[in-house]
Amino acid sequence: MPETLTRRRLLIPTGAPPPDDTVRLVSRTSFGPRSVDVEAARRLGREEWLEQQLDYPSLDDRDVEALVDELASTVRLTSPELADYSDQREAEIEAGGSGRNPRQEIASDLVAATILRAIHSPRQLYEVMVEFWTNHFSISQLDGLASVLKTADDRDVVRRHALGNFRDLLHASAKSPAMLFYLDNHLNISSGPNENYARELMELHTIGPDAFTQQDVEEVARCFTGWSISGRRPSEPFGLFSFRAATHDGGPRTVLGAPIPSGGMEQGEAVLDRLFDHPGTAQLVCRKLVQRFVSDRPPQALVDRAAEVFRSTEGNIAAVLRTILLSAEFEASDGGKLKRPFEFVVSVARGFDLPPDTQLLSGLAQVIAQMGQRPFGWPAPNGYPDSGAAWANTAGMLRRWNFGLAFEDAGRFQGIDLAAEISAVSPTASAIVDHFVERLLHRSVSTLDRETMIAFVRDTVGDGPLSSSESLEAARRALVLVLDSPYFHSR
Amino acid sequence: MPRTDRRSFLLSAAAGAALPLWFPRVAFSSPEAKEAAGGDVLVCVFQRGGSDGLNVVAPTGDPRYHDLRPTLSLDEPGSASSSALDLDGTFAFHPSLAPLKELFDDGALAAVHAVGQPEETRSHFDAMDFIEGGTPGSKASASGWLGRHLDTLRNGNDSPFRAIGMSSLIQQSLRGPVSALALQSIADFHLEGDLGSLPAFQSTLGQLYSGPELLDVQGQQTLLAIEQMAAANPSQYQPANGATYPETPFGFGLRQIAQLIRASLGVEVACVDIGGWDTHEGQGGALGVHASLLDEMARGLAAFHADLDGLAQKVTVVVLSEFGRRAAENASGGTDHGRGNVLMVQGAGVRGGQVYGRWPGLEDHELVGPGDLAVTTDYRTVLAELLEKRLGNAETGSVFPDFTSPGSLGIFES
Repeated sequence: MPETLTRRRLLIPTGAPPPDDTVRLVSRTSFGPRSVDVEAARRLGREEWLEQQLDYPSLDDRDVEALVDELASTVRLTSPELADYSDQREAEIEAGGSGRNPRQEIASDLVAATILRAIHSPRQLYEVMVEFWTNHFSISQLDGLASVLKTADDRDVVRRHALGNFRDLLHASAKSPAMLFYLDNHLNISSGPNENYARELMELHTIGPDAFTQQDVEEVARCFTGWSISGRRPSEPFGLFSFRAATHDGGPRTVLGAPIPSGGMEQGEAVLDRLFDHPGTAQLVCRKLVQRFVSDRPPQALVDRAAEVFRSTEGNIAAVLRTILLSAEFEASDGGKLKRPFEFVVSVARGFDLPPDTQLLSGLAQVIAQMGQRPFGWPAPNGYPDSGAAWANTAGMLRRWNFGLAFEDAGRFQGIDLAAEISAVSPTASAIVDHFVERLLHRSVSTLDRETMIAFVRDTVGDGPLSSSESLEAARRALVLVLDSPYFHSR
Repeated sequence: MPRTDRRSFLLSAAAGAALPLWFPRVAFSSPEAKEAAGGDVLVCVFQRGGSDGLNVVAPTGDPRYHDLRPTLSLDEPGSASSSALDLDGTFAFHPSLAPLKELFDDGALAAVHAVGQPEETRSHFDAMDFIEGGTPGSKASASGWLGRHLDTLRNGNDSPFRAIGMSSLIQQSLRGPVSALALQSIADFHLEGDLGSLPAFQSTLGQLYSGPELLDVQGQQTLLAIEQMAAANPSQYQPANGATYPETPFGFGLRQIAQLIRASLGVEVACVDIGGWDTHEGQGGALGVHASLLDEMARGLAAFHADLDGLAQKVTVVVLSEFGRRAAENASGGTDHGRGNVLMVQGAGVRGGQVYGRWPGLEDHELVGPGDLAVTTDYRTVLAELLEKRLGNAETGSVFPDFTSPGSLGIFES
């Protein structure tokens, strides 16, 4: 059996010293470490830096939120406002007006806001967790009205609870119109139950696939009958949670072997609490968190400790993260995590500290989508896979290399000034390679790989001392090689 | 083991770093060597989301069919364009499968009904794990059935194109020691930019990706594929026989698979997905969401068949999904997750023009679980016969561990 393939580490080249503890922590808890982040974390110490990231409201994000206002303004609107806006714009376009399809505009505004925040927000761990829960409670924007409804779900469910409490998050998700639409619960009525949400709620959001039966699916579906979306009548605003008692079944049920008394909306809420209390939920959520932050093969002992904290704190997400990120397993996990396309592309933008620019933003969104990880674009309710084995393949390798090669002409990127970048670096091929290794990787590469990179740079410009134009050519080559090297794909 | 051979080959190539790394390998893998691979090319089409087989090959002759599906069932075969297309008096194609009806009538396409895997799961993800892993009941399988097929078939084919996944993510069925090539676009499969055209740059990448890790292996395979793709120059491709593929990712995927097969790059298996089959609501009958998906699928498969006409004795296609759907429609005009489903095969060696399998019936006592079509043929029975008769694999016991075929259905010629 090909165990050897999957047991293989991903990407730490032989002979390379591991990144130091600070770089590892910053790298895993952000969308790519910038030099200023690493310096700040060194100054504060790892635990203090982590506390600061967990206490995210203390980090000033007004700059990036102003950018979101400017470049992705529809993310501020409620679902009824978005519905009105969409109707109004559609009427204008129908009457001969110009502009984008409003649903596409709403969907791509949320994608843009997501990328902007990932690149520019100082609340990096918070944004990483937003991405995590977005996938845990995956809703595809490509599915009809979810294109409009996902905006409120992102803001009022995922972002509101991303570093809060899992029970609250679970309840909020269950009442999220986007989720009710995406998993068809808005159609789940007493005269004809729809099982879609009931199944995925148990299988994917909470207790996992082996902890329930088809009978449980049918019973849970009955408990959620009538959980719907407002706007059926013209007098109602569109797109809010609405419990329709008339279509709720209400009879007594049995879920996971225990009774749920007859009742109204509280039946569904009782199901959510029962699922939250089930030990399978702590295991499933913590295993996914350990897989995200530590290793594609989550060490069970760490999952168990995290699950214990999950239970004892009643679902406190920050407490669970503290356990995971300060563990011995975390410190021993180098080379275990591959950047997925979104993380890879965003980390390049962060590495160069590229300033916000609409053209760049849409270019980055396009590259991420081509690599197969368009935000809110995974077509199934289980979210994008979070393992290197799923993403390390030839199509991805080629696109990653070509994305690195796009920086060969770095001067066309606003914000990259190669001459200034290397002005303080001594004009030799080796010094320029070392500069970009430190600047973009924050770690050393193996002696052999360093020599390989230097040899490639020397090939054209010679040994040095280099003239200023030769230095620029050397910088061009060095930075592409560093971006295209295996090191840069490690998280 | 081919794995060891391939690995040591890559490693020894990397060790001789004084030479440009990719150069000798191109010479080593001449296109002529590829034709010696032997059996058919297998193309595996996966309908993601659980296709409603009862609306693909509809049991119009079953007395319960119309009762169970008051709004979804198809009209009895007849002259109207919305009528089902009769196959054998019992079963009929959905009208959107009109492009495939001719293939069926010509004996180039067969269906097997009430197919599935033995584990009773209605989870998409478990069912896909089981089907693609080839190990129903076990989610721990690190490899897929096609991956193990390639591993057991020691035919000396070293081509980086041996296994293709037309996707940004490799299909689970292809996982295994023979690294599959993930491919999105042939036209774009090259390095871009000044440095990208420099042999020295590619050689340097080859050295940086010369280690034993997963990403190194992918890097080496990417470089090799870039070189061989360029040498084969497949960018001038015109489909043959007027074949017109649907302009969708699925159609584009099939078109490119045809292109790679025609370029003789050593393709043995290729996977392409078509998604959107999870029709819990608003599924439609003769028209609607499901009908549009079937239209896309049928036009794609028919174009592929026409395009590869000259290779008719060499390429076999199998179409399957993770499970079928509930026999009765639901209150949302859709269908929920079910069990038994239809599977289709077309192309080389298919004894077509028939619907194979034992029909379990749609009466209440014949349905299973919450009202689903029973499974009377294990999907591995069909795939094992395909691997043995068409792909020359004598070790299907390793491909499908813990499975003994109850006897082949005789769908394929040897």
